[in-house]
Amino acid sequence: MPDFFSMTFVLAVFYAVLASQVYILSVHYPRKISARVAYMLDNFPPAEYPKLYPNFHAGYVETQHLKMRVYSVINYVIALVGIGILAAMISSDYRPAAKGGDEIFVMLYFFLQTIPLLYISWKEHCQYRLMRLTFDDKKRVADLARRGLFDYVSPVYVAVALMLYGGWLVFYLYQAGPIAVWEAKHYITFGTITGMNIFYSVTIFAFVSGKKIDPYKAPKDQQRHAESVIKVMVFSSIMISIFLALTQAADEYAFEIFDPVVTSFYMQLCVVFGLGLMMRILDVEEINFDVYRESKELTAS
Amino acid sequence: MQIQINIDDPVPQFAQLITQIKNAVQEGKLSPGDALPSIRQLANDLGLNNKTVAKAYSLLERDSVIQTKGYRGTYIHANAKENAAFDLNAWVRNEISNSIKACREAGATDSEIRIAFGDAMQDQF
Repeated sequence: MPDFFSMTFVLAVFYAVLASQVYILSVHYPRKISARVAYMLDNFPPAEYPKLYPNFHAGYVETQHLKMRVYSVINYVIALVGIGILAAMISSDYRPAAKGGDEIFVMLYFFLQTIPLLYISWKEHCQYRLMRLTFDDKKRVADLARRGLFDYVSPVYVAVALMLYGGWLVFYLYQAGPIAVWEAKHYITFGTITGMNIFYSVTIFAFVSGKKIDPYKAPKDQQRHAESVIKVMVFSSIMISIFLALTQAADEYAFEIFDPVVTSFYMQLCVVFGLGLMMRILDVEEINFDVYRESKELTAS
Repeated sequence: MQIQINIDDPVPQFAQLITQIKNAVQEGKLSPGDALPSIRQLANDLGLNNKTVAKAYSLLERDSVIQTKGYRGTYIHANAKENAAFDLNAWVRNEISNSIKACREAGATDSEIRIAFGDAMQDQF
């Protein structure tokens, strides 16, 4: 570790970032998600907006409220676990490993924090799938205007994402050496990062081409949904390239002691620029919910 | 500008698309040079098969209402307003009606006319 960083400074930064991770992932965003679901259930009930709730049954609203309370409790418990870990570290003589490696514990705690979120995402996916299966609207509406990638995201961000990935690729291939001497870790890293960017590109192409998750959404809301997904993909690509560069720089310049800090900060940014960005773009108060009402009879044309 | 398709309408979906685009051109809602969505994009937006939209675009291009410029995409034709006013199907009906009238006046029976029409269609291919 470089001499100009005291252990006190390193620990202070680490505890602050970890506390932020506990708050952002287990308190802040779960509260926002719960508030969003409650807003929808209270203002757009199944009786008036049946298409939004394809699996509606007696006691549905009460069940959903109960599930969200359970969701909140689970997140608070996970937050308490995080606070307990922090307290244990502060009260003990914990020192992060000088050559790195402690970031695995940060990642494990992050995965624990994401379990409730993954469950919510899975249920949302199932609901949208059911909506697509039950979609039978006879009237289809679309905007007759061409859309391209840069209608959703600034070309600057796309250029930055491409340059950062390209830069990382060149740097990594230079460092790793000829493919003939590659080890398993080289193949895994190269394959994972390249595969992720290919997945992002395919997903972006699908949404630019008009892929619909929710078949009922009004055209304007569809575009905002596509915008949120595309921006998340582009920002994710940028962030992972920066993260990889920082971790490699840490190895190069003996900053591995900051690996847990960088890892935690990166994961928080993923959530802020992922889930957070999507929730900001898809503001529930701006969505047109009239599309989920029962269809009126079509007049003869 | 929004386009609406009623999949329960007896009018074929591709015909609904063609009619609405032509009407939009004639009403000035679409101007020469305006970019249209790609076939895939419009098909996804409307929840239709790609082939339905492709057929509509193909017929609109035949009628010189739209123009495809390769990878650059599809645009409203420079003379779309005049071309949209021309109804090719009505012209075909009119030509065939005049031909049938002339054949009847010459004494041909309807059966002979049908057979000759069928043979002529075969000969064209």
